[in-house]
Amino acid sequence: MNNGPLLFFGILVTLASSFWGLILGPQLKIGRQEIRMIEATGALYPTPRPGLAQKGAEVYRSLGCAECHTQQVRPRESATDFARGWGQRRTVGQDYLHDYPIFLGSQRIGPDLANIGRRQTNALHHLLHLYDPQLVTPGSMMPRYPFLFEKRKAAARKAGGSEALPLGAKVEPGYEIVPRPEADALVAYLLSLQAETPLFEAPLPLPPTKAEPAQAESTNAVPATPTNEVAAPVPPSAK
Amino acid sequence: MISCSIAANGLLVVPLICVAANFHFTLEGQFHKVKGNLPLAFSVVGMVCFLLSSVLRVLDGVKPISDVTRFTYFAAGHTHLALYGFFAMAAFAGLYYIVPRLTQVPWPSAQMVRVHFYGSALGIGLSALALVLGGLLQGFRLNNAAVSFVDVVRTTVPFIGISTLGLFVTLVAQGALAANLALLWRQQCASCCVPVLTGWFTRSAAAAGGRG
Repeated sequence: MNNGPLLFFGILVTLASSFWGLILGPQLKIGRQEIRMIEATGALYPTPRPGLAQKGAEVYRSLGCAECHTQQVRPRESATDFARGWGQRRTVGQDYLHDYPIFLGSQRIGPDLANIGRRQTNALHHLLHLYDPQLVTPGSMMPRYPFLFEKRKAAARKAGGSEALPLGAKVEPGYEIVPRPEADALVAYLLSLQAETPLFEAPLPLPPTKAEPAQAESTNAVPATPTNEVAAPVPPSAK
Repeated sequence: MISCSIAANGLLVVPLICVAANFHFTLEGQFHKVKGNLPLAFSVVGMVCFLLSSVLRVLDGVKPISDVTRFTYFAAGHTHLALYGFFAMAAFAGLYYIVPRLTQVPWPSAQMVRVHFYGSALGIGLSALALVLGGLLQGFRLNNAAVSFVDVVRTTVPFIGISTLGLFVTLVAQGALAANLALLWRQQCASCCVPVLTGWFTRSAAAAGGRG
């Protein structure tokens, strides 16, 4: 080998520069972010998730939700994420401080979930959607997750309990569908997904988009109240 | 940082041109040999897939294009081309070159080899083309806020169907390869290896019986 040292240093420089650019640079730039106070409101951001929502993140991970759902909002000039109502500002590193692993996702077979907790605040809607997406979003490609729910005899329930899903005639009489703890945890996690606090590096656009109802048409978000496809809860005496 | 990685991505074009030129000048004037020379045919398809997937990958990095193709099946399409189209085809080329030389007999069924080649090439092409086109369409509709999200997702369904069909054709083609290898094994090894193996088994069984 004639040019051994040259070759060695060439390879070293190549590897060092890619290490510098891909690992060290980002680490120096955003590696030391921590919870900080938002000056406008005095609130801390991001606040840690409640325990149930943290468990829900594990359910989200185990079910592979991130295969089809992203959790990142792109800036206005790149895409129509704002117009679809998926967020009011782009997501930045600060938003993911409490996530490990970070469910950024790489495919949008389902809608973006970075702000699902802001977009759809009704826990019952989320439960129905997990049990059968067709109930709340006709035409949805999302699979059903019936194993997150338990089918049990309605008589076993205490009168006035409201945990059973309001499925009406879709369940055979005398039975009811009750979410398992995993479903509750997952919904708590979904409700905790919010990335709209204005940050210095990602301020809310001015003027703020306040045409929320008009945008609902273009997303697959549905009104907060269950649609008429879903009947009112069955009273326990109805069997 | 993002601009930097886009620039680096663009620089990929340079080695790509080198590889393409190298490949072209190696084969210049020899293209008639591709017909009837299966390892060469496999390598040519693999090389074309490599160039295509690399070009798509570079294009995928350009900002206006990546705005459309991001989060769609486009990336899945060029990954298909790179993995199945380039790597698998190059590996098959090696396989078809080496195996007859090791066993010192030709492949038992030339028909099966043809099925494998055309099945693989067609299946991979179909699958990757459907994913790339479907991904582009999906991207354009995703970036048009007037199209509801459910409609965007529904757009991709026929493309995914074609892609699955392509993968199924590829699977059938691999079946032809497996059958060919099985035939070869029966021809070559059944006469010499099977007695040896059965000999081992009977001997070890006898030994076990003797111990018991």
